[in-house]
Parts: sequence; C-alpha cells; structure tokens
Amino acid sequence: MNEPLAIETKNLTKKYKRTLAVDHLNLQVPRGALFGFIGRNGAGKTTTLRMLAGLLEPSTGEVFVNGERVEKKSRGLHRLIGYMPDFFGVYEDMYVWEYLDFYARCYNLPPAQRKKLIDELLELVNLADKRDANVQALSRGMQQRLCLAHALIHEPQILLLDEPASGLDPRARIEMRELLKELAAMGKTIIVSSHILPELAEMCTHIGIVEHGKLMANGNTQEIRRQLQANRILRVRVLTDSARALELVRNVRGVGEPSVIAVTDNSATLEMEFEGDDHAAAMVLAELVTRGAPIAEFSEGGNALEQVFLQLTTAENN
Amino acid sequence: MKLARPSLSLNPVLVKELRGRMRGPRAFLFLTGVLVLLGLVSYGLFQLALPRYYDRFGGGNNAAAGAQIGQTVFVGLVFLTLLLICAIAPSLTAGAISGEHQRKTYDLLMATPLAPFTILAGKLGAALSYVLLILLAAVPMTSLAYVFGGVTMEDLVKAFAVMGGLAIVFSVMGLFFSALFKRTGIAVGVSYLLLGLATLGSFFIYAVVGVMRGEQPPNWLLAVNPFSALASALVEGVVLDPNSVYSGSAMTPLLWGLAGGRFDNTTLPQIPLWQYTLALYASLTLLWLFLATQLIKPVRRFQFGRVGWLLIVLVIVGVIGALVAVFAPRFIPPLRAAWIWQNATQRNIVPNGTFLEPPDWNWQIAAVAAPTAKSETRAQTEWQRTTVLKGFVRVWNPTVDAATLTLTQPLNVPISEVAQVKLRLVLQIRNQASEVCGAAGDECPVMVQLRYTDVGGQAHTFTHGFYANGKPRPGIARACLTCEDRPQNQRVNMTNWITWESPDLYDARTPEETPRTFDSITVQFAGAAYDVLLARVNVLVREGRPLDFRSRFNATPRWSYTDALPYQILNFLNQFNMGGSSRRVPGGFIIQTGPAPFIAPPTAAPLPPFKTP
Ligand SMILES: Nc1ncnc2c1ncn2[C@@H]1O[C@H](COP(=O)(O)OP(=O)(O)OP(=O)(O)O)[C@@H](O)[C@H]1O
Ligand SMILES: [Mg+2]
Repeated sequence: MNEPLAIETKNLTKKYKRTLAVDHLNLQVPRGALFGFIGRNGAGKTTTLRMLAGLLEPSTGEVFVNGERVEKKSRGLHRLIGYMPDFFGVYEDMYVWEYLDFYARCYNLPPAQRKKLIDELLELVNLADKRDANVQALSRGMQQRLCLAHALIHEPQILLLDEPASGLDPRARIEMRELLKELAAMGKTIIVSSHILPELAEMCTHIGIVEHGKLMANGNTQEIRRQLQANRILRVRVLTDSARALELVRNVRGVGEPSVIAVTDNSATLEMEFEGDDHAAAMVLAELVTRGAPIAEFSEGGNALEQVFLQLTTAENN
Repeated sequence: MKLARPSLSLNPVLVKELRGRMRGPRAFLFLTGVLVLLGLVSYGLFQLALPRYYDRFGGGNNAAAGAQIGQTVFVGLVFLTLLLICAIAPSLTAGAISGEHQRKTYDLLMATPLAPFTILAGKLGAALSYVLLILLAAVPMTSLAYVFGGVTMEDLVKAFAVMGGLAIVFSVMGLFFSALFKRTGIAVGVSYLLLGLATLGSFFIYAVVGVMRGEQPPNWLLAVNPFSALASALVEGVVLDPNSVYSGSAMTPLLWGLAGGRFDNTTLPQIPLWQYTLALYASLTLLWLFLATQLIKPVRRFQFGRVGWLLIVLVIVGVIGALVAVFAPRFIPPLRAAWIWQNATQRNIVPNGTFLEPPDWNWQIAAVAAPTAKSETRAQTEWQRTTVLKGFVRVWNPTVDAATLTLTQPLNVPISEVAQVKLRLVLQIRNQASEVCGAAGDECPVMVQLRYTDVGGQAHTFTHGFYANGKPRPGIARACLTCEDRPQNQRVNMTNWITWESPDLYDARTPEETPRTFDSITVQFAGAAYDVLLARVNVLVREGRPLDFRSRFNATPRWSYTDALPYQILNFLNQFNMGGSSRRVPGGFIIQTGPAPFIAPPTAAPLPPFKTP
C-alpha cells in the first residue's frame, strides 16, 4: 500500500571545512512528483542535488532512492537518475549530435536506438536545426537545453535539474515549464531547483524550501500554502480614486486592512490579506459587487508564496 | 527483467577523444611534422656517417661501411623518437582528468555509469594513438637504416617495444598527476619535473657517484632513465657476439655511456639495465593506474568492500613474499652460499681479457728475437678498439726470422669450491709462413698457458696451441709438422675468427689437484712471418663462493671519469672530425693505433721467462 518514495533523505548533512552546507536534511519526494527545491544563493540546493546524484559524499546521513538505501556500490543509481548541473561546460571540438552520442554510448545504448533517440531529443529541446553545430558555438540557453537533453538520454525515472531555467529567455522558460510538465505527466519524478519562486509555485506538485542547509518546509504545494501562509493576498483594481476604493473595500468580511499599491488616473489597485479558500474569495467578490464597487480586476496576489518565502528567510536572518 | 548483454561496444571516452583529436588537419600536420623532422635528422646522420665510414673502409660496396652507417642512423633516429615521446606523452594525458574539472564536464561524466577504469583506459588509448603516430613516422626511417645493414630485426623490434612501453609509462604518469592535482598546469609541470629527474637527474647522480667512488657505479642508478633503458636494450645483442660486424659504429660508445658503462666479464654478473627499468616502471604504472582509478571517483574513494580489501591485502602479501623469496637468500648468510651456488655464472677472472683497454695496461709484453735470428727482429703489436666493447691486439712478425712475443698477466686469484674452469679464446690467424713453428720448432703461432697451484701446493700448467698451416694437401708436404704432433694443439682455418673454449679443466683433475690459486696466464706468439689477431683471453670460473673483486681491482680501477656520459658525448662528437691514425688492411679490418691508455699500467714484478712444457 505504501508506495516507496522516489527520493528520501535522512539527516543528510554535508560539512565543508567551515560551512555547514546541508544540515540534517530530511527530504521526501514521492514518486511522480514535480518537486520544487527552493532556496536562496548558498542555501545548499546544489550541494543536496549533487549528493542525491552520487557525485558528492555526504558527511553523514543517508539517501534512499526508491526505498533502497544508496549502498556503497550502487552502479544502478546512475541509470535511474538523470542529472543536470547548475554550471557545466562542454567539450571542445564536438558537434551537437556527437555530444549526445557520447553520453548515449556511456549508457551503452545500441547504435540504432542511439541515432533515433538523439534526433527525438533534439526535437524535444528545440535544437534539431543545430544538430551539426559545434557545441561551443551554442548560446548559453541552447547549451542549457542540450544539457537537459543529455540528462534524458537514458530515459531515467528520476530527474535532478539544478536551475534548468537560468539563462533562458522568457519564452524558453515557458517552454521549459511545459516540457517539465510533460515529463512529469510521463510519470517521471523531477526535482527542480530554483530561487525564482513563482516559476515553480505554479507547476510544482511538491515544494521544499531550504535555507542555510536546513529544510524549512517540505510537502504538497497546497499544503505548504496552507501551512506557511495563513493569509492569501487578494488584489483588486477598482475604477475609482483611491480614497473611494479604500472606503468600498474596507470592512468586507474576512478581509484584512487593504492597502493601496498602485494608482492610475481612473483606477486604484488595492491588496489585502485574506483567509479562506477559493469559495470564500468568491464571496468576497460578490460582496464587493453588491457594494457597487466598479471592479476591473480581481485576482490573487501572485507572489504570495514568494512573500512568505521572503518572510521566512528574513525571519531566519534576524 | 532484462539481462545486460555483454558489451562489445567501443570505449565511449576513446571514441569521443579520438573524434576530437583526429579531426581536422591537426593530426595530419603533426604526423607530417614528425616525419619531416625524423627525415631531416636521418639524412643529417647519414651525411655525417658517410665520409667517416666510407673512407675508413675504402669506399665501394663495403658491407661493413653500410652496417656502420645503418647503425649510426638507426641509433640516432631511435633516440630522437624516444625524445619526442618523452616530450609529448605526458602532455597528452596531463590534462585528461584535470581538463574535465576545469572544463566543468567532470560531474556530467561522473553521473554516467562508466567505470573509472573505463574512463582512464579511454583517455590513455587516445593519447597512445598520438604516440602511435610518432612511432609510425619512425618506421619508414628506421627501415631505411635496416636496409643499410648493421641493424637486426631483433634490434628494430626491441627498440619499438621499449619505446612503446615507455610511452605507456609516461602517459599513465601524466594521467595520474592529472587525477591527483585537478589542475592541468600543475600536472604538466610535475610530470616534466619527474621526467627531468629521471633522465638528467639520474645521469648526474650516476656521474657523481662514479667520480666519488672512482669506480663504475652500480648501473641500477640509471634504471629510472628511459634513455639508458633503450641503450641497454640495444647494445645487449651486440655484446654476446664478439664477431659481429656491426659492433663498431660510432654510436656504440654512446650507447654504453647511456647504459651505465660497459659490462665487463670481470665484474659480478649484472642484470641488463632495461630489465630493472621494466620491473620498476611496470609496477609503478600499475600503482599509478590503481591510484588514478580511485582518485577520479567522486565518492567512496579507496573503499573496496570486504572482498576488495582481501584482494588488495593478498596482492601486497604476494608481492612482499615474492620479493623476500627472491632477495632474502642474498642477505641471509646461511642461504647466501646456496644462492651464489645457484646463480653463479661463468665469470672471467682475467682483467682486460677482452682487450677493451690497450694490452700494455695490464698485460706484460715481452718480445724476444730468436737466438738464431740474423737481425734484430722483433714481433710487433698493435691494439685497436673497434668498439668500446670489443678490442683486439694484433701481433705480427713481418720478417722471415723467428721471433717470439708473450703477453703475460699475473692473476694470483685464490679460489675455492670451484665448480668449473674453462679457458676461452677468440682469435684469428691471418698469416703463418713458417712450416716449422716456433723458435725451437715445437711451438704454435699462438699458445696459451694457464698456471695454477693445486690444493696440495703443487704447480700445474695447462697449455693449448693453435696453428693454421698444415692442411694436408696432395703433393705438398704438410706444414708445421711439429704442431700437429702435439695433441694439445689444434689446427684452425686461416683468416677466420674462431672462438675456442676448452673442456672443463677441473673435470680432468683428481681431487688433490683441485686448483686453489690461479697464478698467471700467458699467451705466446712464435714463429716467422705470422700475423695474429687476438680478441679475447678469458678464464671462466664457476664457483661456489664470490670472489673478492673489490680488493683485486683496487690496483686498477675499472671505472674512470672517461666512462661518464659527458666524456662519452665528447668522444662521440670527436669521432666525426677525427684525423687519427687509422688505416685499412686487407680483410676488412681496421688497424688503428690505440689512444694512449688513460690509466697508467700497473707496475709488477716481471714474470719468470716462458717455459715450454
Ligand atoms: N566545494 C565547496 N567547498 C566549500 N564550500 C562549499 C563548496 N561548495 C559549496 N560550498 C558552500 O556550501 C554552501 C551551499 O552551496 P550550494 O552551492 O549548495 O548553494 P546553492 O543553494 O546551490 O546556491 P545557488 O543558488 O547560488 O546555486 C555555500 O555556503 C557554499 O559556500
Ligand atoms: Mg546552486
């Protein structure tokens, strides 16, 4: 009944000479999850991912993959996991197809399959026209996508992607997001690290927040929302001046003190804290409408999680 | 569940590296460059060697001249190729692992299921493919030298085997440092530093030890030196054949200088240098490879599990056990005698018995005219060192009067537990005019006498003679009747080099007559109008206890500064503009007045006059 977690760590710790990069981390990533791993610079994301990929020796603690402890000799681990580092280089004097061919050979794929797979993957990451280009001649973003293709070459169950979106243009980011969703839909377990929260909050099923090597939150995205963010934020644009808008919105049930965040010639945007689910939000809107407020926009403050995140980290800093 | 198929596929790292390295004109240009360099150098060597040997051998289609030229070009080429390999091999691998770190491709590579050894093997294979290009470029050139003669197929194979082996060693060294330091610059620096120490450093230490001790230093001091190893592998074949035509090129002294001095039968048996090198570098290479496989692992370095550790311990115990088994008997007194008995080889106890040095260095030369001579007739001697490893004396009497000349050397070598005693001579009778040999008509043109004292204090003399005349031909009276009358004398063909070895002298004795001291050895030349070349006079002893060589040779040190490499190099260069006194004599041999002996001949009391048995 209890399906084993794709990845679980128990008191995973990594200590460099001075810094405690990862501090008794207990991470739980269920199978099929799209797991967002969030933390600021130096929080320990890369260190954790490298330990999961078997590229770094934990100081103490254990890693379990599919419920099995990563033992002393786990050659099979490499076939289960696809890893894309945050910073990586490419070999000189190599064509794009050769780059993928090299890694395909490393996994001992038969020649016929290799060729087919390379073409498919290049198609997937939108580099089909660069097949015969030199890898060094690719732009940073293209290299990024090529590296993602390389991580997929052996069809791994688990993907560890360290900031895959850094260096991508906005369109490519969206494409990357779609790609990850697609891969998740295929049943792969994906761990994505980032410091850009909204990017992850939207697509991830699970989220872990790490700060100074410690796990601050870990779980289902909804749960995290509820758990860490008692108050959601509602954003309302009213087609009046700001004083009138404040008056209209103030004292609506279930909503905190509104604050004006933007004023234009004929409208004012307010934000207010709000407790409750989407049902309650609909009630708030209905009440505003009955009060006669000329509502132009009614939305959830997009960066709520981010605010919590910021709040969390500043709290930690104090 | 699918079973993993046994993989027959190519090493991915090798494929990748070769694709990069062999792409474009780089490899082609490299090969062309090496070819041009080797071609120019061999042409230069040929031009240098041509006048020297052509003149010396009187020109024409002389096989000997061809051989000398061939050998000069071959040796020069082979050493240049080794130099190229030493210069290039470490740099090909010193960036192999560190480059992955610096290029930030290391994590990607380590995330693949490739075994560390597979990665190393791929990198090594790619580097060696470049080295192979150098060797390939050397093949046509050395084959040309082969066509000239003076080089055997064995030499060719040996040279390329040694160079290939050394290429592997230095590539693995680069690989190891690359894995250790993770910085290409440091790995390259340390690799070349070590290589410099192994070559120049070892020569320096060798020379210093030699000059300080005033004798030939142990040749294993040069075991780390790749050039010495190659030199020793190349001269090895030449030593064993005293009649070899091609043992005389100007390259030979250079080879000997590099190989840590010549081997002399009068010293303890020596293992050829390259065998030390082989053992040393083979184990070092395995160790480097093993350490590198551990160093490149991102995690769990030097963790092997129970079975792994057991294997490692077994290997270490095995190696130590083997070392103890091999070396312990030499140092544990009760076993030592048995070891010597086991390993005793024939040992020559006649210093300068190969005429490496001029005969007057330690042979006492006495020339006397026969009492019946009409004029003041003297036999003459000339000495020539055709090579450092082989010299010979020519003794000839140009007159028709009888004249005797003796070469005598006091031995005074006490021995015990003799297993075997043999006499060995290498000589050629080029002319023998007299029908009745010797002053008294009972001596051969060449006779050897070995005097010894037996355990009972009784003196003995062993005598053997050689003559060339006397072949029975119909209608012509047999010459040298007297020689033939004596069973201890032997007829040999005229103008042929012959190597004669006596039966075991010890076998023929009763126990009471067991030799205890070898007193002296004498070679006597007698008769009229004879002309003899003597290349070797050896008394070969196999015994059960080591001789005290050190004390015996104190009077005449075996090694001098002239054996040090710088001197050899000067010597070598000098040969190309020599104006020395050499002339050609019929029969293809060169008679050259030898250089003045570097060491004054020992003064010893004159021996009693030669007595006929
Ligand atoms: N090789 C190392 N030696 C010493 N300290 C290190 C090493 N690698 C990382 N650290 C330290 O460990 C901590 C965590 O680093 P890590 O790279 O895991 O952070 P990160 O969350 O990936 O940051 P970023 O978002 O900037 O990529 C940092 O304080 C860093 O200085
Ligand atoms: Mg990072």
